Amino acid sequence: MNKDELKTDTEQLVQDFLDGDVQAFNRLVMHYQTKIYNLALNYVKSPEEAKDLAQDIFVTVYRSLPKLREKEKFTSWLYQIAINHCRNRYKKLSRRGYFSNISLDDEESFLQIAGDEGPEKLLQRKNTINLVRSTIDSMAEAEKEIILLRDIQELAYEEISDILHIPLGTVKSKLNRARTSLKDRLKKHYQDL
Amino acid sequence: MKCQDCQELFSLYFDGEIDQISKSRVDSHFDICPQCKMEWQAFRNSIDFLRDMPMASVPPNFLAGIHQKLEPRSPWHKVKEFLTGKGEKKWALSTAFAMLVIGFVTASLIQLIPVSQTDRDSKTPSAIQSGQMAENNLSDGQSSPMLAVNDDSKGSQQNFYPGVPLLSEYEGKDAPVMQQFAMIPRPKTEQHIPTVDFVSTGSGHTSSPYLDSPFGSFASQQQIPAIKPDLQITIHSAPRAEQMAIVKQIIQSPLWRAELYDHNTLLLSVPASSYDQLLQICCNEKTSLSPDYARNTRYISLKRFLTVAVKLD
Repeated sequence: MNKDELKTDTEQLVQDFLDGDVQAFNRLVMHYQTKIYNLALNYVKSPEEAKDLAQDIFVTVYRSLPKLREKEKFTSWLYQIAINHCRNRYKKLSRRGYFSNISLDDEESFLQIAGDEGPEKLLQRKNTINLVRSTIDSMAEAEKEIILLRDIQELAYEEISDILHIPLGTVKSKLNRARTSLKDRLKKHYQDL
Repeated sequence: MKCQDCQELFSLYFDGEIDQISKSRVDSHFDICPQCKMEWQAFRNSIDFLRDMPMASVPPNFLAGIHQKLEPRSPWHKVKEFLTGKGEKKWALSTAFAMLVIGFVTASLIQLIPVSQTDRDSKTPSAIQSGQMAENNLSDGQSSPMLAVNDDSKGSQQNFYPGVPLLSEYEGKDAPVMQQFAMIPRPKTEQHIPTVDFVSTGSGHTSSPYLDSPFGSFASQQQIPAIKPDLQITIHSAPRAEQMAIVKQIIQSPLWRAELYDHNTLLLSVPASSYDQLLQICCNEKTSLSPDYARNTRYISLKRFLTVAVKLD
């Protein structure tokens, strides 16, 4: 399903849900659960926490959807809720020292790399993924957030502008800065990649 | 085009959001600047790495878990989850413990705080003066600070109640002598409500023969325990009629309890709050009080009830 189809389908599902079709909500969840779960995973690292966090996000969506005024902006609205939940949970867990007990090995467990590559290639790919993930984690919170929204979640500039409440020009300049920062950090490891 | 300007357009160039003129300028800059071209390749590779990252698959029962969370829960379930459930468990227990500790400490501190003194008299030494005196004592070579400072002008007695004159000030020659009573506790079983039922029934009894021949017959009816009153009011009015008028006013008042002590003494149990009314009735030029400072309406006793002896001279 391409982006335009997804958008049209989402708008129809939102309308169906508001008309009382509960199954429409289930289909909305199916459309967005992987993206939201992975967004949560980027914040909280642990699959258990990410599952709980992503479920909380959809619970909020279910309860607040009738209040949504611009139905065509559902995706931005969903990500606004998701980002707010993620930030809050991240702060809460940080205060408890939760992240000091999480290691990269724990993170690996949820990455199931599919493919018919040989074991050497597979190992190399796994290392690359770990390196990129740790590089992203080492970035400043604002830079990390904008890169996740654009390059992992593949959201449009306008959507990012709506989600983060910043002007379009600022999105462009911040994104360029964040990507340049990522490039500079990864450059040190290009030999390994 | 400068290298910095070129690199600032990398992101838009990558996303294809760049306008045609800027794109051609960047392309022509790459032809003449191998450094920027190398930076561009690194930029593109890093984003490609990022975009190649696999997405983690959603755990099983994800949707079912959402619906489980959407189900209404009973209040008991919420309490149980708060106390034993995930997430907030540590906070719930530690908060409850902290509240207990804070409550206990606060209660202990409240008991330790002394009752603040009211500024009753201009002679009251201020806290600053006390502090200065304590400091002076320290500077005189005393090793430990004093908790209370004696006022040298009043001898060595400690003035625990600033503003209230010391008893010694009323021990001059002119001071009325307090009648001495032995301290014999009243037996508890003898809850003798005064047989002065006429006190509360109005003026009908005021002409009673008991009052006209003052108290004599009452005094002989029971064995009177000796007690020491807090203060004594002596009525010096010469005509008996005047004395009886005051006594009538006293015993007719519902504010206190009156009891006969002997043939010419009436004992009153006066609530501290109605002490002023008693003074209004019987304090004039023909009465005297012992101790004398009790004539001041600002006389303050720590007792809730004052025992007052009204004596006919």
